[in-house]
Amino acid sequence: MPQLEFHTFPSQIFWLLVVFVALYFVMARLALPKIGTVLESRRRKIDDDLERASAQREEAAALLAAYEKALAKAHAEAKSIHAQAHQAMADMIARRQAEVGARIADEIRAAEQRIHAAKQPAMAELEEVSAELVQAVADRIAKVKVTMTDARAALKASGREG
Amino acid sequence: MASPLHQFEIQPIVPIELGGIDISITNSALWMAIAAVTATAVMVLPVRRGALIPGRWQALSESFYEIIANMVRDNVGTAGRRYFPFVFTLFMFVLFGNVLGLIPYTFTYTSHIAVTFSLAAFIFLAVTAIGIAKHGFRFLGLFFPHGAPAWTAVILIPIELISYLSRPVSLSVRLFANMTVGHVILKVLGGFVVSLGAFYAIPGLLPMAGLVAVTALEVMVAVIQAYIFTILTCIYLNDALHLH
Repeated sequence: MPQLEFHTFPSQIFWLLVVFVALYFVMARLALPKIGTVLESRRRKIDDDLERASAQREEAAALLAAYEKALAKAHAEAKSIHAQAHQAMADMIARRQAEVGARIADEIRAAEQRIHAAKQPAMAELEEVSAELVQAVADRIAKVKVTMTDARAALKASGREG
Repeated sequence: MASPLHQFEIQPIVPIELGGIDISITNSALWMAIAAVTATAVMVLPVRRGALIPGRWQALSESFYEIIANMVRDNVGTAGRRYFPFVFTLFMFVLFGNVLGLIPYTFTYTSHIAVTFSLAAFIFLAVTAIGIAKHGFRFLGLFFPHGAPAWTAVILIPIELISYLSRPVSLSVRLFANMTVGHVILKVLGGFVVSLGAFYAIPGLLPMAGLVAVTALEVMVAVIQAYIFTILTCIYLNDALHLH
């Protein structure tokens, strides 16, 4: 078995030592530090990117919240403006109604007064005519001379009875 | 047809002798060098620019790095950080020895006990030295489980001692035996294929199919054995650093 040919051992062990030590130095000094820094910088880059992404997400969320707040505020303002306008309109309507109502009432009152004023002389005149009629009737039928004053009193008395 | 063991023969390429000791450059030394150069190329060339988004080859280099870095972290903890370059070199040296050895007409230096035992013996001595340097006399606690009744020491200490001392043997023989047996099986199956005639006769197809399957298996074994060799080194290192 070639594995047990002991005269080959020194050469195998010698070159194992040489090659292994050489490979060790190449790996330890050259290959591994380089790959280590590459991996490290990538990890840092990914961490940075994630951090920035989360910061931007928070910023976006804050912007959204501000926007929603502004929207809610605008909504509330619109509502209050609407309510104010509604109130102002209602007030105006009530005021106009009151004004118009008052004017109509005034006109009715004035008209009633005019009617009353017109009625007074007409009534007095009617009384006068009635009294003259009473005088004339009494004079023609009963041949009684009745004074104007008595005729009026008689009319009033009959008016109270009737 | 050559013997199945012919592939393991060590042949000098450049004969060198130093102080009466033969240290010729052999096919074994050549393939160690080829493996080291390949490993260096795989680990250095793709990361020259250190791209943020790795290409295929850089992803491969990074995978090697991360597999072993995770292995050291999981098995040894942060104290193992200083030994990462050694563990990594060990993994690459064994892995490339195993895998390149599967290419026909190459030489598998990990199929030689001289190589695997030298590595295992160095690991054993280094781990023991680290343990003693770190814990001093308390390192002997490794041979007696904490909390066991005192009288069991009579049985446990010899068992633990033998199991500790057999570590370099089991570590080196496992790798050497796996590589040797795998290559012998491939060679024997290959011999059947040729002698039964794979390309012009039905009987040869059977060993041919077997050869294909065993080759796939051997690729897996090559990787797994490198992984096992490395992870056991981590476990031994962890024992020495943290006792148990």
